[in-house]
Amino acid sequence: MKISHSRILEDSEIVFDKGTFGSLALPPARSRGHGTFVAGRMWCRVRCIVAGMLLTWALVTPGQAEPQKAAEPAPFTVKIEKVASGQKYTIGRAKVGEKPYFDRQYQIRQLPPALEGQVLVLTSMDDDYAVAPDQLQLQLPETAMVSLCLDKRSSRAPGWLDGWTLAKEALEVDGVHYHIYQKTFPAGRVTLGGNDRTRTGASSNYVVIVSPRRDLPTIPPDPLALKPVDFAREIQPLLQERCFSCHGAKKQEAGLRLDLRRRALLGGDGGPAIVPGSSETSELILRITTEDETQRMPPDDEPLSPEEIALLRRWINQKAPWPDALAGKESFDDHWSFRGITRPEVPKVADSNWVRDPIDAFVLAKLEREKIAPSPEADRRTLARRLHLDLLGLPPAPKDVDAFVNDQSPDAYEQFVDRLLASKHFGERWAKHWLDLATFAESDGYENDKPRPNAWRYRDWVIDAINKDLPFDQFTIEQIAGDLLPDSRPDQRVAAGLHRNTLYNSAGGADQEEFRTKAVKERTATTGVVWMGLTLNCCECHTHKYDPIAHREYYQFYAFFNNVDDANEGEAATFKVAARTTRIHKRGSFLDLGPTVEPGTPSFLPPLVARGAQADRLDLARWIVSAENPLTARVAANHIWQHLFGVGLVPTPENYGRKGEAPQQAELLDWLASEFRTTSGVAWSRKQLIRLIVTSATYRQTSAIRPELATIDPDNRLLSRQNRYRIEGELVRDLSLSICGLMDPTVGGASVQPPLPKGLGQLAELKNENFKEANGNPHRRGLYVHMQRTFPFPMLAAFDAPDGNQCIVVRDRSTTPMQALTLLNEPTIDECARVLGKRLMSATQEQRGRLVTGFELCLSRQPTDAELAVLQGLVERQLKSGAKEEAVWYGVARTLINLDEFITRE
Amino acid sequence: MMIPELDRMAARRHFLTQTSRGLGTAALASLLSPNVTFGNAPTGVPGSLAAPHIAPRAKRVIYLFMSGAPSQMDLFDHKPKLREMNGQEIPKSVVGSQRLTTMTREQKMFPVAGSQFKFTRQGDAGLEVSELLPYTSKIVDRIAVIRSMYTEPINHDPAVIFLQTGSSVTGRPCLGSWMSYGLGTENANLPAFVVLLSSKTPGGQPLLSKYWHSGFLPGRHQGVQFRGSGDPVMGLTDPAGVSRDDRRRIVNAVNDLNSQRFEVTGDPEIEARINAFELAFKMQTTVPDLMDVASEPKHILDLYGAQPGQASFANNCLLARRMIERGVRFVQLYDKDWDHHADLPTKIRAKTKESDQACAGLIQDLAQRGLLDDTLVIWGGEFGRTAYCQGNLTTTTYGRDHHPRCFTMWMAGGGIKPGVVLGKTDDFSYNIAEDPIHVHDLQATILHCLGIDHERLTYRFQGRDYRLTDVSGKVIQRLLA
Repeated sequence: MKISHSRILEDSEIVFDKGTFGSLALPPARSRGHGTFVAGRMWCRVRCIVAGMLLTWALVTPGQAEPQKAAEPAPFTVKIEKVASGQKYTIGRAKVGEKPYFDRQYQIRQLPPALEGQVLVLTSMDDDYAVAPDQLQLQLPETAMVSLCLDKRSSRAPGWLDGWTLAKEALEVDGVHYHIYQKTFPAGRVTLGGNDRTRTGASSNYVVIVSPRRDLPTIPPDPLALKPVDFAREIQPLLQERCFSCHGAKKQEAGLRLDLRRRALLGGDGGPAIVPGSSETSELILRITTEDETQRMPPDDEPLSPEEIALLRRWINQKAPWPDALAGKESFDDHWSFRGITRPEVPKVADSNWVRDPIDAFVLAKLEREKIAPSPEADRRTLARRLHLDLLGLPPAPKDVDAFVNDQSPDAYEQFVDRLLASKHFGERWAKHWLDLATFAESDGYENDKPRPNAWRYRDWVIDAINKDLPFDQFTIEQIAGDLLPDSRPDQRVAAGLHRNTLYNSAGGADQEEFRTKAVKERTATTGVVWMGLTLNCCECHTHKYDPIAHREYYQFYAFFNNVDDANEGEAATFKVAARTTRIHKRGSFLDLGPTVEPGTPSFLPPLVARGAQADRLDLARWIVSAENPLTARVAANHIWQHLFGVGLVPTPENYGRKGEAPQQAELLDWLASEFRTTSGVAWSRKQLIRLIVTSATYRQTSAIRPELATIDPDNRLLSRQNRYRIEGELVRDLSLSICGLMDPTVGGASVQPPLPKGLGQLAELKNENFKEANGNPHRRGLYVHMQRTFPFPMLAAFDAPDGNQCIVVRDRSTTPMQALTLLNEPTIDECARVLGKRLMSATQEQRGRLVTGFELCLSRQPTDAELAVLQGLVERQLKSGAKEEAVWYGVARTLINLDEFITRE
Repeated sequence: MMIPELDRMAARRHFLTQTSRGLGTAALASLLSPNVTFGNAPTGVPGSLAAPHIAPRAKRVIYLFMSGAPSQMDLFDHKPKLREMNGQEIPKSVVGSQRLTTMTREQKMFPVAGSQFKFTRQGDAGLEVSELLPYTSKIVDRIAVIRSMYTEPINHDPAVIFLQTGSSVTGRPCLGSWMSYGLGTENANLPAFVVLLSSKTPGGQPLLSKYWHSGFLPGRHQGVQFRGSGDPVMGLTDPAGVSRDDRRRIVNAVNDLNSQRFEVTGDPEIEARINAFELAFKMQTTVPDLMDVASEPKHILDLYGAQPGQASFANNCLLARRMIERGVRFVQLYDKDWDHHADLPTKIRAKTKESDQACAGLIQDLAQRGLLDDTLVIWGGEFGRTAYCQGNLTTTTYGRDHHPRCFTMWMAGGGIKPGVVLGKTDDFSYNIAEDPIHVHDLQATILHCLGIDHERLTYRFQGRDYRLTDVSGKVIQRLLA
């Protein structure tokens, strides 16, 4: 509320402040009249009621209130208990010539004599936007008056100053005048709130002076203050009657919900409503007591009675006790993904012959219930190609397929899998999945889009970590907080390069703070989605509509990443850890800051245990992979499943919240998650989990569509077959290079720029001309194609490869004419077709043999007679049209590369 | 295994409606059955339209994007006060606490720069138009001018992204992609969303492919860039030595083999691929034909100021009409080099000379063919320019910095009331005096003309329903016919 001089009534009474018995409003020292501030009609009523019970000790005259100014004050100490902004406030003496701010040189030039020599709390000028409701807590040894001096230029005083008395005199600090608000408190803790962020006009942080009031009888403790409030009987019915219609189960105005303990204590979009232990600064109290009718709660209704207000104050002062039994049940309590992971029993099935491992038991149990038989096992050629594509992203060589087909040993399949898991190309294939999530790219983005010549080192770290099967928990910790690990190794700091994948705008005129906060939001959202399947981005502007994540909690999570400043783009991450307080961005705007928050995790998840006073990224990383976290293992196991079946058990891997799709195979997912996390083998081993899945009978099924199930299970959620789907852009490239023998198998190193289609380079709108020219070996895998954010490599983009501007959890698999034109005429693919044509010609002199070889190279199988007939027809017609032999076989190669099956994993 | 026809149909229908990431939306449906209309478009995929929300007035859009931001007070927003006060410091009360770019923030003086160009009243509305736009002056009664546009970003890239996607964060779908996603295409032989670029000189603000990116919408809704010279579409021209017959034989073989595979797997995706393959093959014929500006009669070429064989803004305007005629849903033109920080009079004179005739010619040509009734044309940059001079103000020249607080755009055609002049800026064209129109309002209005309620064309991505207008936007009723 606004405090204006006109409101100051001439009155000689002492008024109990806002119905509490714990504090008194006193006329200011040396005031001409009596100047007690009365805060509107409500307080008049309070005064009347209280007046009847007035204790005689409280009746003092203004003359008596005059503090002794001549006498040297006896030792009087004030202890600073807490500064929410984290600054180091100190204690000094209020005198002309003294500095009131510890971080500025300004001096006090004028000061009411009564305050001369009193205790001065040196605050920080930089806290002018500190807004925490418990910004400053002082411990008073005895009854004392707090003088809070507020820059006069400020358009409004914070609401918590309601009921303080405005002194006639002012304080001057180097030409700037300050209003002095005063209030007397009994011995004990005093909480001062923060500034009002909505004020305008130049203003500074407040100055605080504390003077003992030995002239007053010691204020006895409020006889009622210690009497425990009965929440069930006194508070909850009151909240229900007066608040729930707007802040209850049905409606949550301003994001505030008071019928659930967790939500009530969390507060609304604007910050906490209840500050346990401090009714003076609790927004809830301020809003029910304000004189401003447009602000007062409940709106358009009678204000709460003084007794009710006093009760709420007492309850909050007693730290707002709220028994567990009345905490309220939240709808997400039953949400599947927020429950802890317990390892489900492996179900019993009728056809135990089909079952190869527990995965199959879970799948078959459901199928048997629906009376559906699983699909038959795919033939070995299909399996060889499927495993090669899934595990390496490369086609099998025909001789390897033949060897596998002819391998009679009982564990031929497992041996085949183990060979692939040991391949150095395994890390390349699975790194790409991870890089999609990590928003990896090799340039800044935005219009300047400067290249990041060292970004590939992070990419190589991922490949290497996956190849050596770095356990997923360690894989997580090193990326989120590798730089904070004790004695961190250079490779761990490279891992933390994850945070450097954010976009950066270096354009002239760009507002750096805007883009810095955007990058922090990107890190926040990415971490939420990648590890926990949480859609935190919804909470950037407001409390989540569907999931139990408050606006405030988003910024607590954001706070973990808010101090990551990219120092320089070197070989290993060297982050400047900036001391930066985090404030809520109201409605998501970095220009409109709300209350300060500390790093923290959403309250509906198990609590985070910090190593120090304030949680940091390392604590966060360890919390993410902790045994209690219900999401991480499910999300990670599901990601792996997704890349082996084309779709996750949770079909919306980007959303495990209530708007996501729950898994039909929930027990299987939990079993996998628990297996992943705590197995008998190596905990968190990616390779072991993949091995487990790919050796299952479920994985080995054929992928042919089963028309009889089109209505019962159209999306194959029951897993009665494998899935058939188009491969990623990188694989289209890798396959083309492999089948003709051009592929450079080098693993890792700087990226390359393959040649662009004719004319496209000239067309590309790039400030850096380098990216228009081919550079490096043009035959390296798609993973190594330079990722320029504003100029995605056209061939890869045509097949939905990400452009590195957003975290991609599920890639699109579109089917477009541009893909057909790409497969026909893209320079590298066209080169592959020419080389393949020659390879077919040199394989054998015989037409049929060449066609079979082509089929085996491209599709890992032999053609049917009908298929052979189509190709023979093509060859004959081409020859008849007068084409040269080389052109004919080039045409055959183009045909094979353009087959749907070539770019499909079956 | 053979799949009975009925099952195949069922599988295909299901495929069209069920796939999780939005496969089976309007555009794909139109690939499979070229004559798709609102009536039989597939339903059940969130965000794709089974029926228009409101009666559509426009079916297609041509967006003439003047990249770099043309100066509003030198073209449409006549401010005599600027001439009066030429050289004097712009009043503090006008500038307020508006943030400035880092390019002029450090300037010691902010002298007002009056426009050097003469303005005369044009058309029934008496709109004052600069002498730089003699052709546009003649069509003011056909267009609606908004002088009170405002935006949020202050730099080019985020501002272009904001106009195109409703967000200054990279990665959201742009207007053309939303249209392709919501309405599909009218011609199975051409993409729904085509992009044409023009630039006479190298340099200037880059035009990045992300400006026509489909963001999180399926990739097929991405704009396809056509080029006025050389190979018009990436990969369109077969390599040397491959004849059209060779190509047809390969297409036939591929289709035969794909069909055989479909019999084995029953995967409806193969049908989609066969169709895409056919479309690609057709585009190899239709696109060169489409791009053949030389086939236009001389009086049409003259109307636009187009010259066959050139890659120019005028040619692109003519190409836009040819695309619209063939059922392309959204034609996005970008014309570069409107960013006149210094030497503005010379540069803007050159830019208007290149573009004025073509803009007016396009409107006239569309009108005479009856196409203007259901084609929406939009003209404008990403923000405005400052009333104060950037750099040195001399008697002959001045420059202007970026100014997001007000700028001018115009619209014409399907659903737009001709001859309207909306909004008013203050005497300095610095702040909006009346009828502020936010970018989201403009976007809401564009979608409205197309029969789309901007709040109901949504796409779920990572748990949130996104839309073009983010969380705001109001249809500008006064612009509507």
